[in-house]
Amino acid sequence: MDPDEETLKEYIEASKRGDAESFRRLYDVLVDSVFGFIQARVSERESAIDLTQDVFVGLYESLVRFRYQSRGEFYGFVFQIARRTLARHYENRHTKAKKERVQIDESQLPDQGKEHAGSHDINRALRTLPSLTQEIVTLHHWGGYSFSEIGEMLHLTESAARVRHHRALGALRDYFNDALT
Amino acid sequence: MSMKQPYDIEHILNTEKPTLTVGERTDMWAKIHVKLPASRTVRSPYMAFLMDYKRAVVAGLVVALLGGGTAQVAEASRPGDILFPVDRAIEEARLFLAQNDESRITLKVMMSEERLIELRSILEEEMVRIDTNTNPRAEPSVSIASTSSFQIEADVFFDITVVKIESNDRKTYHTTQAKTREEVIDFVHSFLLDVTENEIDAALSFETEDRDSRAKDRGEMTLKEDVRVKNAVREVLSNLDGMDDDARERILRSLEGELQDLDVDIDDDRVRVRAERGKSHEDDNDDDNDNDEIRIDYRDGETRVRIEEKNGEIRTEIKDNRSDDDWFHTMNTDNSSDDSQSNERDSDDENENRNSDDSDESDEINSRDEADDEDDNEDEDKDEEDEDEEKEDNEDEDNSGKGSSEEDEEDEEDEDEEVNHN
Repeated sequence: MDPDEETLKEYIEASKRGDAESFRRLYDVLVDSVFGFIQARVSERESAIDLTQDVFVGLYESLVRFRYQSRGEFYGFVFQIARRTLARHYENRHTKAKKERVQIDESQLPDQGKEHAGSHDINRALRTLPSLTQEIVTLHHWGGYSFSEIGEMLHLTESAARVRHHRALGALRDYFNDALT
Repeated sequence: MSMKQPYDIEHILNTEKPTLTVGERTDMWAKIHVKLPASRTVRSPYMAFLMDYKRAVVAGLVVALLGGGTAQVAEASRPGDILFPVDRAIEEARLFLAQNDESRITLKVMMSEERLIELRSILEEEMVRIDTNTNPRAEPSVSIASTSSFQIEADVFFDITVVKIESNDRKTYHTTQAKTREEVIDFVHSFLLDVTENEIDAALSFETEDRDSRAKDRGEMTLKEDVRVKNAVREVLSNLDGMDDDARERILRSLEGELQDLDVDIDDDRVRVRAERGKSHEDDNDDDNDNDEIRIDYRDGETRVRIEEKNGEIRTEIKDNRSDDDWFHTMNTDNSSDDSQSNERDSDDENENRNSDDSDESDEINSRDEADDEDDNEDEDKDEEDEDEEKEDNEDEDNSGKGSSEEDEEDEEDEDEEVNHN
């Protein structure tokens, strides 16, 4: 799925120069991971799709200033933009709700709301995890990134990432077990 | 008691992975593609403040022209301050401005203005060098004995006598109140050790000038920088083709403002500019400062353009060389000046004759241009950086003249923004 480093670099450089086709290649490589990352944090699918778009538009603009150092670093860059996009999203929702003088009730928050059908509430489960740990899990399972890459993206050592991941799985298991009782 | 099912978390995670359908992926890309900025370059705001620039510069120049000290003029005629962000914008402008003539002219205006900035930085660098010109008391005596040749030139002006000593390509300027050849020789001998009075006498060209000294006479501009200034000025002028009179005059005004202390003579096949400030030669009887006259004569091919400011009026005249007496006014705020016009025409001829004497010197200068150009370009880049820093520092200190124009700019920009939102 992932292109080799040389190819990735080429796509990035070409995208910097404004080559939309190359950016399309980057998009193909990244879109699933980014979508998964965002969907884990946002309940509605539509929102997740919109936000994913925003991430890529933002990425295209930010690439101009980006200097490639390593693959992991690039992915980290991409998800930084994703986080930024998410943060703006939450802020907007909050502000918008305030403006319309709508009570922010529980059902509006990302934690609640519509889940996609047939889920084991995995999203809800994930949100019980600390933010960083949650990212490690989604990046690994939904982004397909290795712990080494994740370490680079999140500024952790590889072993730290593994350890957190392992603990996270335990916590998730507990969550589901508890949910049953 | 419920049984704890061992949850295969990893399995769940893997199966619950949010996925996009192919259709969703394609749709998403389509929407992204549309939103990608068409060009990599950011739209520059230069268009907006180009409008404001005009007002600001005109205001600045009017202040400059209506008299006042050097400081005031320097401050007023600083298009560089307003144009500082233009530097980058110019490159970008080149990209999308090839489209039509109007844009091309705008581009030329911009480039001219950039050259003016460079010109300013050259001049500012030069002002610093005034200090390195010798003051006999400040510097150890000049020793010439070991040099193969040296030249001394003494020019006696009304206000002062300037003695220029040139040896081994090094020029030093000295000033004295000495008025006669003997006095000058004595003066030079007092600090030129290792040289006899006879040798000084032999090397001395002694001239009496019937005017006050100018900055250039006093060596406030060394020969090397003359070259750079000329190049910068030439570039400014070369961009004037095809500009409308308004823009052209504005540029020439800025140019004149930059040069006003220096009286630089520039000779070129096509273009000749002479900017003079202070009393005009004919007005010996008139001590009134309000009569400060500023005139720029500019010749481009068949056309001669004269822009002058006198007593607060600005006049532009264009003369077609093909028929000598066909002066016609393009901008004349005072119609009753026909008499003075013919006087000026005479003085113009006088001045032109005088300038042709300078042309030999200028040819010499021209041949040295190329050698210096490379160095100059490097210097200029650095100068711009330094000057930019300086400008940023100075911006805080600027007072009224510029301050108000900046406000105007901001108001205009706000207006522009409002318009855009509508």
